[in-house]
Amino acid sequence: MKNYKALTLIELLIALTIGMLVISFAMKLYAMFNLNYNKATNTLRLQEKMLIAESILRENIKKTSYLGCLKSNSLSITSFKTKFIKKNSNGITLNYLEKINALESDMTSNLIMHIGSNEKYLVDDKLMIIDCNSNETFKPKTIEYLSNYQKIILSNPLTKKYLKSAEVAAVHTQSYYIKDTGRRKNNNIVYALYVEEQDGKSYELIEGVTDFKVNFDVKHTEDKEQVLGCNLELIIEQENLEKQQFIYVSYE
Amino acid sequence: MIYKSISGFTLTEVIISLFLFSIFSLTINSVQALAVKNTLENFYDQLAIQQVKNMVERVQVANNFNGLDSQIRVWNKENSILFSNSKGEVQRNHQSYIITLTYMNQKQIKAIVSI
Repeated sequence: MKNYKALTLIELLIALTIGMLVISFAMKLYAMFNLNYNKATNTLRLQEKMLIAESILRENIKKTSYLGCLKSNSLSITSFKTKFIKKNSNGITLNYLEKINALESDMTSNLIMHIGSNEKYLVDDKLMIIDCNSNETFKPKTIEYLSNYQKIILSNPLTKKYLKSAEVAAVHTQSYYIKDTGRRKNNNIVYALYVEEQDGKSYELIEGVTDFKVNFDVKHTEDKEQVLGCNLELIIEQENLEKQQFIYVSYE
Repeated sequence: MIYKSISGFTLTEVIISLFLFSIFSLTINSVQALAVKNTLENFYDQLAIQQVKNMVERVQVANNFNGLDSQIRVWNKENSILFSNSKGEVQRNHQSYIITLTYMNQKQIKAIVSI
C-alpha cells in the first residue's frame, strides 16, 4: 500500500484564501494602473490639442490686424467684423493680407496699376489696395510680369486713383468651423475643428473641439466704435475630460 | 513502503514573497501616480502660461484705452473657470506692467510688459 501525502483541508483553504487575495490585489492594482494611464494620456492629448489650437489661431488672428497704414482700429466694428473676421454660427472666417507690394507709381487710370514685383500675384488672387484712408478689393483681369514691376489690368474700375504710397496685397481667406467628423466614441458624436482654405478644400485640424465663441473688445467713442482685441473661447474634450481655452489677441 | 520527499515552499516563504511582491507593486503604482500628478501640474502650468500671454495682449489693449480694471476682471473670471483656486494681479511699475498669476494655491507665473 502506497502512502500518498496530500494537502489537508486547512492547507487547501489557506492556499485558496491567499490565492484569492493575490488575484484581487493584482486586479485592483491593474485597474488603478489603467485609470492612471488613461488620465495621463488624456491630459497629454488635451494639452497637445490646446497648444495646436493656440499656435494656429493666435497667429492667424494676429495676421488680420495688418491692414497697411489703415489700422484695424480705424475701421468701424461692423466693417471689421464683416471684412476681416466674419463670425458664423459655429466658427469664424478670417481674411488676412499676404504678398504685400507697393504701387510703383501713381495710378493714371482706375483700371490699370503698376505694382512692385517682390511678391508675384496670380489672376485668381483676390487683391486689396489700401492707403491710409480707405481700402478696396478687386480681381485682376490680366497680369503682365515686367522686369521691375507687375502691370495689372482690373476687371472693374476702382472708386479712385491711388497714389504711389498705397499698398497692394492678396487677401487670404480661411474659415474655421466645427463639424461632426462622422466618427463615434462610446456612441457619442466626435466633433472637430476644421479649416476651409480659399480653394474650397477642408481639413480636419483638431479633434474634440465642441464649441467656439468669438468676442470683440470694442471701444465706443462719440462718433465711432473701434475694435481693440478679439477673444476666442474654445471648448475641447478628450474622452471624458473637457476644458475651456481662451485665446486673446490684441489689435494694438 | 516508499516515501517520496517532495520539497516545496513553506507558508512563511510564501507570505514573505507575497509581502515583497505587494511592496514592489505599490511602489510602482505610487511612482505612476506621481507621474500622473506631474502631468496634471504640467497641464495647468501650460494653461497658466496661456492665460498670462492673454493678459499681456489685454494690457496692450488697455494701455491705449483706459480699461485695465475691466480687462483684469474678465481675465480673472476666465482664471476662475480654468483653475480651482487662482488670483491674477497687474501692477504698474514706472514704464512697465507686472502681471502675476497665482494658481493652484501657491504656484506663480510673472510677466513684465514694457509700455
